[in-house]
Amino acid sequence: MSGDLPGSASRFHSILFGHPVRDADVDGLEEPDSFADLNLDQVLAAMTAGREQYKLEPFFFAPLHQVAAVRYRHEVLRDLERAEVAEPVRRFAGSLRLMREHLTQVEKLHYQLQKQSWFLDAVEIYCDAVHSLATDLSELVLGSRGLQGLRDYLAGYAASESFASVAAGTKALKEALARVRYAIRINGPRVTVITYTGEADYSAEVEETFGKFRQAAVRSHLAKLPDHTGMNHVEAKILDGVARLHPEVFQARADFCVRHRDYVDATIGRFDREVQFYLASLETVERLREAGLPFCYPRVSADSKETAADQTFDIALASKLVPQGGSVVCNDFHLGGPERVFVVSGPNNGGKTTFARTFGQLHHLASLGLLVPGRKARIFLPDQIFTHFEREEDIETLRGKFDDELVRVREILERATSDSVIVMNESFNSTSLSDALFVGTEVMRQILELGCVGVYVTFVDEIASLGEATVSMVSQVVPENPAERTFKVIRKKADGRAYAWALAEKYGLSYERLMERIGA
Amino acid sequence: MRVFLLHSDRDFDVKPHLRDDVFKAMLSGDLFALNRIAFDRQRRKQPDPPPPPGTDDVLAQDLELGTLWAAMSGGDDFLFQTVKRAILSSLRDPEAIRYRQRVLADCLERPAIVRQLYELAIEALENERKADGGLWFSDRPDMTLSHSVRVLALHVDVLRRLRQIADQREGFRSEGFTRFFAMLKGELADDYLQTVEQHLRELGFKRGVLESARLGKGDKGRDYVVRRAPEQRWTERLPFGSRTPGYSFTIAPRDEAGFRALEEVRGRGINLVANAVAQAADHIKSFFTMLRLELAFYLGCLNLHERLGHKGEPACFPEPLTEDQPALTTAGLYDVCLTLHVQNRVVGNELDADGMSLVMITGANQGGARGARPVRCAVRAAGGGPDPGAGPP
Repeated sequence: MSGDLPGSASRFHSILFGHPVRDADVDGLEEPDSFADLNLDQVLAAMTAGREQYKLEPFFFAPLHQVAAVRYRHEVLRDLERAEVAEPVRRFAGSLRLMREHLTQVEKLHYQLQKQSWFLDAVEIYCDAVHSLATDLSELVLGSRGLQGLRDYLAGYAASESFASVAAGTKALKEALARVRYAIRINGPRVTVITYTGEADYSAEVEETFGKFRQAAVRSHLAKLPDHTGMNHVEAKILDGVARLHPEVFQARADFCVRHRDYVDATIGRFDREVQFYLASLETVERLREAGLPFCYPRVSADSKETAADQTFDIALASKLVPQGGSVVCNDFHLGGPERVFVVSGPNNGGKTTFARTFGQLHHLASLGLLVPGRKARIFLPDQIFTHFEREEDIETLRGKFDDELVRVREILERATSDSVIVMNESFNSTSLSDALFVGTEVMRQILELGCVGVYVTFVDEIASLGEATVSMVSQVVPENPAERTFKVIRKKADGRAYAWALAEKYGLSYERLMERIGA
Repeated sequence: MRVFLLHSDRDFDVKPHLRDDVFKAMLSGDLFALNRIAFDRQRRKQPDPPPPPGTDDVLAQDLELGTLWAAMSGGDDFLFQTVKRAILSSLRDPEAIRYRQRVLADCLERPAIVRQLYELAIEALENERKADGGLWFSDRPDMTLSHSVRVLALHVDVLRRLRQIADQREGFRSEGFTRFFAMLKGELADDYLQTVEQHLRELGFKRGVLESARLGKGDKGRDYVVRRAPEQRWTERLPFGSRTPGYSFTIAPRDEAGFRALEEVRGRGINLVANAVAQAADHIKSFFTMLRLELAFYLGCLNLHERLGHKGEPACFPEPLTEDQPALTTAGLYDVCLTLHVQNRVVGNELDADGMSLVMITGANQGGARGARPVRCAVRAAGGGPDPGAGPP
C-alpha cells in the first residue's frame, strides 16, 4: 500500500465516476444520433458482446466533460492494464457471474429446500469472492484513486460485523449440511428415510468378494445416471424426510435465507457491473494492439481546442479488417493556433469518410475516458458531437434529399455551441456544384463563427480556403497509379488540381512529357 | 485366476500379425464369433483374406502345414485356428518348450479329463446366453445387476465342478497343471463359493435395499452406498411395530413416474454393486475363454497323437537345445504330413548331424529327397507338439 498516489477518495462510490452520480441519470440515456454515423454502434456491439447481463450501453452514451473525470478513468485503466490487477478483478467478476447463475437457478427451482440450498451456495460464492478480492487488492500497489478507494472500501466491508456474520453463518451452515448422513430403505413401493447409523458398506463387501476374479482390466458397467438439477417428487419426499430427521440445520438455513435476502452490497454490486466497462474496452484495445495498431491515453482539455493525433485510425474499420487479416492505414492530423476545421477533399474512396469518422470517434472515446487509437493524441472535450452524413431519402419526411439535409444542418447549427464538435461528411452532394458551393460556404461560415472544432468532407475545393480556421486535407492516390488509393489523408492545399495532375502524369499528358514527345 | 497352461508366466500369446480379427473373435468368449466371421465372408462372397506376405505362408506351403492343422483340428474350426496360431508362434526357449511338453505329457496321460475341462469351459461360455432373460439396458443398474447375478450363479456351478476335477488330479505332474489345479483349489474353496452364492442370493434384495447418502449440490443426494441392513427384530417386521425413527411414504400404485424416480434412486446405490458383479462375470468369462483357448492347443495335439497312434506311427518328445548348441539327431524321423495322406506307414530316417550347420540330401527323384520336410517339421515340433519319430536315440 505504500506506493499509492496520495488523495484516495475518502468514500468509494463508483469505479467509473470520481463523484457520486445517480445510476438513474446514466441508465436513462439513449444512443446519441452520432453513434451510427461514426460506426460506434458496431464498436459498442463488439465490446459488449457476451456482457449483455451488465447492460453496459448507457455508460457509453455518457461522455465526460471534465478533465478530472477523464483522469479518474485513465488511472483505473492504467491499473487494469496490469495483469496482476486485472486477474483478481476478472476472477471476482467470474465468481459473481456464477453467483447470479445460482440465483437464477433459485428462481427456476420448484422445491423450497432446494431453493434454499442454491441460495446458500450463492451467498457462499459471494462471500468468498469478496474476501478474495479484498485480499488480492490489499497485496497490490494501486495507482488509481478508483481502485484504491475500492480496496479500502472492501477492507472495511470485509471486516464489518454484518459481513463477517453472513460469512460465518454461511460456513457454519455448509459444514453442518455436509455432516448430514442419512439412509434410505427401499422395499417395493415403500420408502423409509432414517438416520444413518454406520451400517457396513455392502458394496465394498461385494467388491472384495468378487474381486478375486479380477484379471486384466475389463470395461466398466457403471451406468451413466442422469444428472438433473431439479428434483422429482420422490427425491423431494426423501429430502423432506431428511429435513425432518435434522430439523435444527434445516430450520437454521431457512431462517438464514430470509434474514439475508438482500446480501449483496450495493456498492460492490455496482463495481461488478461498472468495471466491465473497462474490461470490455481493454479487450478490444488488446486485440487491435496484437495486430500492431497503437493506442494511447489522450491528453484531454476542456479549454484548449488544439487537437492532434499521430497514427490514428478508424476503430470500427480496424475491428472489421483485423480479424480478416486486412491492414489498417493510420493517419496524422493536427489543428493548431486558430485552426478549427479540417476540410477534406480528394478522389472518391480515398479515405475521406474514414478520416471524418476517425475524428468523431476520437472525440467520443476520449470523452468516455478510454484509450484512443493512435500513438499520441490531444483532444478537446466537447459538450456535444454532431454528425451530418449523407442519408437515404426518407419517404416519411416528405422532403427531397437536399431539403432534408438542409433541415438537419439547421438543427445542428441551432443546437451547437462553440464547444461542440461537428463532422460534416459529403453534405449537399445531391445538388449542383453551384448550390453546393453556396450552401456549403454558408454553413461553413456559421461553423467558423461558432468556433467549433470539426471536419468537413466535400468535393467543393473553394470551401477549403475560407479562412485561417480551415485546414485543407487531401486523400492521396499512388502517384504512378491514380486509380490506387493509399487511404492517406494529408495536409495539402486543395487547388482542385492535385488529383488532375496525378492523372495527367500517369497518362503521359504532363507538360514535360508532352514537350518531350513533341520535340522527339 | 490365470490359466497359464501354454506359457508359465502369461496368457497364450501369438505373433503380432496373427492377432487378427479371427484371433480377436477367439478372445471374445463368444462361441459363435468364428461362425459369424465365416458367415459374413460367405455372404459377401469374400474368400479368406490372403495371409500377409511373410515367411509363414512359404513355410506353411513348403511343409504342408495345412494338412497337419486339419488333422489336429479334427474338423473343428476353433481348434484349427488355435493350433495354426500356436505352431506359427513357435518357441525358442528350451525351458518354455519343456514346460509345454510336460503339460502335454499330462494330457496324453489323462486325455479324458482334459477333454472334460474343455467341455466345462465351453459350458461356462454358454452361461451368458442362458441367463439372458431377454433385453436388458446397460443404463439400468438393476437390470445389469439381475442379469449378472444370473450369469454368476451359473458360473459358480461350473467353477465348483472345475474345482471338483482339481480335487482328483492324480496323473498330473507338470508344473503347468499342478499350478493350475492348486490355484483352483485355493481360490475356489467350498466356503468361498458358498460366500459367493450367499451374496448372489442377497443381491436379489428381497428385503429391500438400504442405502446411505449425503447432501450434494442443491440438496440432491450423493455418495450413495448400499449398506448391509441390520437383522430386523421380529417386532420390527410387524407393520405397526417399527421402532426405527424415520419418515416413510409409499409410491401410489399408478404413479409410474414415481416408480421410475424411485428406481433411479435405488440405481444410484446399487450402481457400484452391479458394476462389481458384472465385472466379476466378465473376469470369469475371460478366464474360461483363455482356458478354452489354451486347452484347444492340447486337444489338437491329442487328436494328432491318436491318429498317428492308430496307424502305429511312433511319436516322441524331442529334446530341445539352445541355439548355441547346433544339434540334430533323429531316429525314425518321418514326414508327418505325408503319413496323414497315405494309408500305409511311411519310412523313417536316421539322421546324425550334431554340430553340423547344413545337411545335403541327394538322390533319385521320388526317392525321399524331400526328406528335408520332416527335418524342418521336427524343428517346428520343438514348439511343444509331439514330434513324429521314434524318439531320441
